[in-house]
Amino acid sequence: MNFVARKTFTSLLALALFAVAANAAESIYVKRATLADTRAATAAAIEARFGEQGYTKSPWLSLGAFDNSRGDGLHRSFPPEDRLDPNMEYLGMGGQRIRWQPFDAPDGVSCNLIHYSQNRAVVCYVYRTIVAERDMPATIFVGSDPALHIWLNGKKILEEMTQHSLTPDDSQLAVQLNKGTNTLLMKIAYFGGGFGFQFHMSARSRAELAERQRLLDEMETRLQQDFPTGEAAYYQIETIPIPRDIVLEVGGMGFRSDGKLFVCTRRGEVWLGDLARNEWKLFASGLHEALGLLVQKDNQIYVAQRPELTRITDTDGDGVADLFETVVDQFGVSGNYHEFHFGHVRDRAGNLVCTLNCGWNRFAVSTVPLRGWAYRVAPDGTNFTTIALGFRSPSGLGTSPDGDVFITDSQGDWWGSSPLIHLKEGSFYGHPASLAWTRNYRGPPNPHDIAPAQLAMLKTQPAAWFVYGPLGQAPEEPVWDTTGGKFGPFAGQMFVGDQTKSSLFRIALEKVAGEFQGAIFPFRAGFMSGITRSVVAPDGTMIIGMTDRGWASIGGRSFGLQRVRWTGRVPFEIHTMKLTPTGFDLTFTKPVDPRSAAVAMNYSLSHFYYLYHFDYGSPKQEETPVPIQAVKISADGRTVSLTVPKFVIQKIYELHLSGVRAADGSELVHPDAYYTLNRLIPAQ
Amino acid sequence: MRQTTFILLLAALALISQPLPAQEKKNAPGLLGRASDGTRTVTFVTPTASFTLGAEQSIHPQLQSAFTVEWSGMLTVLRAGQYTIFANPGAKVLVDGKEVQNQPVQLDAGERAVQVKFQRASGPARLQLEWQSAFFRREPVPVSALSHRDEPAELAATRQAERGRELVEELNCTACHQPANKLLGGRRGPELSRVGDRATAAWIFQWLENPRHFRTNAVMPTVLTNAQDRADAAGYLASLKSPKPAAPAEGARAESGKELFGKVGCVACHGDGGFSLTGLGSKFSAGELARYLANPLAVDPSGRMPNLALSASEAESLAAHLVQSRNADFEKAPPEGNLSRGRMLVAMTGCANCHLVKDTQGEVRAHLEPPPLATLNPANGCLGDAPSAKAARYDLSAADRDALRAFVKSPDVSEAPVQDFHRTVKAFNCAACHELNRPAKISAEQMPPGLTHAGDKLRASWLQQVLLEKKRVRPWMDLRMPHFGDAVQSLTNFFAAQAGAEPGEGERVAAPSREQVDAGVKLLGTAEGGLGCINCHDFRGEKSIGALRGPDMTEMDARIRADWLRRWLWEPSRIQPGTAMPAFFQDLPAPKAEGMIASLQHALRAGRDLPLPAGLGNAVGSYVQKVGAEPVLIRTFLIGSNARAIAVGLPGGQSYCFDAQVARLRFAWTGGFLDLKPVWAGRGGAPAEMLGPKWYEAPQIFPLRIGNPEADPAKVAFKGYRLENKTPVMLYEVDGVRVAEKITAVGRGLAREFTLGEMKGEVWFLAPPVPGINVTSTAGLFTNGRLRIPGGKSVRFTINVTPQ
Repeated sequence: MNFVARKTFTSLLALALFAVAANAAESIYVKRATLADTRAATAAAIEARFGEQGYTKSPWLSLGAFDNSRGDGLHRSFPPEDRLDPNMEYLGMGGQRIRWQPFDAPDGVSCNLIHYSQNRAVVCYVYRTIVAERDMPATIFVGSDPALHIWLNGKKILEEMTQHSLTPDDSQLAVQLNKGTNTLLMKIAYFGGGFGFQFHMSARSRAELAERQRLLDEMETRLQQDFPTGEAAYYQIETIPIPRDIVLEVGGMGFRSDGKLFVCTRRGEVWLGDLARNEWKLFASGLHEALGLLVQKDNQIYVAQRPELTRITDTDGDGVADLFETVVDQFGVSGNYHEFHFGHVRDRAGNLVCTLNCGWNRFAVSTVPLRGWAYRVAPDGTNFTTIALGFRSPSGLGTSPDGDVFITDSQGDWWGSSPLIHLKEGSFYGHPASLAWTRNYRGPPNPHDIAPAQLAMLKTQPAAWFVYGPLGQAPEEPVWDTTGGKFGPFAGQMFVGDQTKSSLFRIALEKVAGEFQGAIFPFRAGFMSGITRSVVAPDGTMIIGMTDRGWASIGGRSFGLQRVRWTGRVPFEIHTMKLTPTGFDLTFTKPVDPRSAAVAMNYSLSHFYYLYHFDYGSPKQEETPVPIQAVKISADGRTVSLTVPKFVIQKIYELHLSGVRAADGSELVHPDAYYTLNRLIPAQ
Repeated sequence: MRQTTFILLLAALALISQPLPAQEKKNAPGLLGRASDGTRTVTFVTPTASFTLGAEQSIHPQLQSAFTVEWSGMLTVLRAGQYTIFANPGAKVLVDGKEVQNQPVQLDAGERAVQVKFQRASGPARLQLEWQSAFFRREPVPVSALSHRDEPAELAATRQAERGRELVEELNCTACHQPANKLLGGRRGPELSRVGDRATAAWIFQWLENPRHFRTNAVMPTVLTNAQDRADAAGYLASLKSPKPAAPAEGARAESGKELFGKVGCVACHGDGGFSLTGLGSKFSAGELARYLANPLAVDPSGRMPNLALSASEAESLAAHLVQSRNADFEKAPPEGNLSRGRMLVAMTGCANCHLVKDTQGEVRAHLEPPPLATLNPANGCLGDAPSAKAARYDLSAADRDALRAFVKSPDVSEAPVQDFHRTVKAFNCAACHELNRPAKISAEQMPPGLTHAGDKLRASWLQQVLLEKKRVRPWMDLRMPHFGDAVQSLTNFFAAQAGAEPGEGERVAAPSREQVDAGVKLLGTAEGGLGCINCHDFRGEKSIGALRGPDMTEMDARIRADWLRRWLWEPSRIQPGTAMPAFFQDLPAPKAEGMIASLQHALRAGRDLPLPAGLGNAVGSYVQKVGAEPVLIRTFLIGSNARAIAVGLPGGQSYCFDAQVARLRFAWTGGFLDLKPVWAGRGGAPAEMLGPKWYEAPQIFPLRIGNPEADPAKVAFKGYRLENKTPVMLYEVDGVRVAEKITAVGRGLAREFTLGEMKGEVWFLAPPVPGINVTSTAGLFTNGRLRIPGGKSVRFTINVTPQ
């Protein structure tokens, strides 16, 4: 086989040579009286500026099949190349009389020509006309399987000889349309395998198309500002534009001392973004599923990738990494797609802490060493030590301002719902696969066969449970509001993004009988993709990194970067839910209205738990209403004390408020709280 | 690596037992019903207060179709708020004694007393208890929210008569005792026309003495008490054979049969406490058992042993496993039998009443006619405390005998779909594998769908396909849906009837327009704006593109009622807690969510005519990595390397794989570089595809030796790589000596430029011959495939690897 690529390539490497900038100079926004009118008017203005216009395309015609049995069909010239006439009859393969047929091929969609092959190697043609109002430039985006040639107005504009599977938009051709009718002929050869093409075009440049999307995103941000409703009145989501060429499936993020943001991606690239100037530069590439990033110095980062933890340095100061040093590879990689390597945070002593995902074979498995474990290592690669085990898919790691490491895992086998785990030396958190790598393990060959009752005695409870559904389905990296008030009234609290729900949740933990437990609250929904990583920016906003590739998110886009900004308005929220000897204290962000807050019926409290078993997830077990015996409001009106008849430990207490208002009349933005009760306050 | 003190810690933890929460007395599930037709009153428990009845059907088999019914129990309200409880015309719903149906009412959280009253008017009748609130959409009140506390004594009487009815049908009493009521069913025994294939005379002889000696829960009675009679009958029956015995299977593996036994679901009925298969090898030959297993319904159409759609080789393996168990008692030779006397006994003593027997003389006609059911004396005959010698002996428990007596007293029954459903489901043991108001009995990695809500969910035509036409929508599951043939035909309608759902097909959305199909297909796909349904759901027979698999999207509409699907899409976990199906729409503005759900539902209506969504087949984005003027390095999985592979594409079309696990060059290829679609599309993580043929496979040894060429290095460690003007230089250590290896393309081959740190002694480079490959060096000399280079402060040499 001989592969020849003659077309202009635009590989990601080429991008490395240039800083990619998205121009953010302009703004199109037409304000009207209502949100709907403003959105409609602005969208119309953006379309008027960047929409497609000036040409019309005919439907496609297709013609086949011609002989390619000797495999030279791309080199041979068949009659349509000499005489292009949609009404002409041609002599095709085996002397068959063939004509142009209507061919339904919607723009941008991969279309199949396989009906022409009938198990023979063949060549066929597709043809359409484009009528332009004037001489104009345009871009043709085309992908084919296996290879194709394109003629515009009789002139060959693409000669693609490489046989490959169909990649949409594989070739992007800048062309000039003439005023009047233009003819477009494409020849596609079939050698076996797939047979088809994909096509669309635009009179807009790639930069213009990117600009159109940026303006639409910007419009959504401004609509939140001008017409604040619900959560958006207090916390705005702004979309950070990303140049069109970058597939920024965020796996890790970290700010440099100069305020530039390093982002590593699932495709193994590390980008350095200047968010203020919308400039992005490729710092490193070729890594294997990079899912954690920590900035060491401005020219040096640590990245967790599938095979190892790597220190990446730009030694010569040209802004591009040139040294990749293996820091840790003392763990197994079997080749299973699910064996992710998540990183990584610094513990109190300055060590790096990472987690090793289990593999997946119908359930989470640990077939190679240390899958399902957390480890730490000194930054110089010495003192590699395991810390804890019993993880399934521990994809989120964070260190609290006090130096405690927290890890989120995902609902699945042995996890009835997703847990928030306080990482402690020597603890087993419940997923048994990892037990296979304890020293002198003598249990059954498959640790999943250990009796749940036995495992239950070994395991350490999570600090809190993300109730499956209302509190997301796939929690990721915990971050803390370290802004001292710039991010609103929740200074010091923890925030966790969710990949499936494209939402942020807020967590207020407390120490009871020496261990963390506490409450989780909904915080902000409506992000564009699945949240994977979050980081607090120097300006007191929070940057949310996202991708949902392979796992759907309600955000719907496959990746993205957004910023959450506090508008300065204080939302009426339950600030904390704390355990008392007799019930719970709810502290609010504003004083409550004593009339509505004193009504016991306005608080619905119930408790339940999750099963600890091999099965995937767990329904809520024994949901039991809890009567509220007394409601007491503190002198400052900020704290409401609820009294319950008795507590049951190892339950999740689900609280819903209805009708409770603030003294200023505002309603709760989120009237829901979920408190994980592991321990009771010890009797004095 | 230093392992922390886990073992001690785990052991210590094991000693601490945690206090368990105190258990409270729990309510029993379901509501307590009391119904009367004016003559009789019955008391019973149903999961909920719902039914759909035809004109002649009743709320309970023991009642006529004109009835009044009242349910009572508790309704669990988890959140205080406004609720509306819906009930059909003719029904009243009372909560805490107050009539509330079809109007909003404020309910406190907790257990509320609930009553549902209904008076039957003539004609079809329907009651479906539904509710809605600010916390959930209108839905049938879930079974989990309904319970009752005190069970009155009358409940036992109704249950006893129902148990009697069950026994009459299971034991096939009506085969001998004519019923007045045609609704009373029965279950025929297996056809015996070729029973000699399946059992030996010895086995039949022993079986006839008392079937319960072979299997404690056998339903066949003991009829022939005389040994010679049994020998005659056994001799006759064993002579009934196929012209050709089933050939013993070759290559059948008992081990894989054993595995199948656990996997396909045999254990659901034949596990502990179920129908014992001990001694099966004394009855069947492996070949005959395989023939039977391939379709048990062929000889026993109303039996309980289903067709599990086993392939021939599966049936053979299973048979090979099962015949390993034997029982010597059943292999002892019986007395010589008189075959023609045996035939007469089969006709005269009742065998032919239950079993179809055909031989060369035609069908054996039954000549036994005991009294009809309505005239039986429950104290005598089969039902007597000490059955007479003439009567068939069933060895029933006293409780079952009492149940039969209670039923036989007034053996009239009405068609009552709610109880008929539960009786049928029990007879065919559906709840062994399916969740039905309580968890399934078995546990498997992948459980079959729950049946609790199936009546609200599935269309009758789909149930028909699943129950009778072997349709499967989860073909990847190990467990097999058993097929019981026509015996379960009635379930196709009972499902909706017992749920109070609309009978038949239920709600259907209108046929979609082209625009609706386009909008819906976009949502199914993974392109921008898509929900990525195909990540987890099959599509027109194509596997989902992710690791999870869900039912085929193109069969959703044929399968599922539109109203249920709408509720499911809105909040899946409300219907199936813990489901992997995400709630996509709840967080969106309501009009947008409704629009998207409508688009999806309309598009799904197109069924198998749906166009392929984006993401299936060819994925979006550019995946082919090309190499221009500079080398490209990609760490990825590659076939032919350990998992820590590094692929490097060099300008000019050469590419190589360096295996960081073992720190050495593995192979090289020429042509294109990599297609990363397997790595970057969907969940990814599969090996990248090399776009050209391999021309070099390095020998399976570590090539560098420090000092001693004979021994493998004691320690090799990969240290990373640096980019030298974009060209990767691999860094590793061999026995403490640092090595930098820079690989570049030279002509049609590769140049491996080694730079070693300071060392004493000498370096060896081992190059055992590889056919078609030339290996040369810029320094030292090769002897027998070994290159020797003196050590020093810094050692440099280049190995050229070229195709011949």
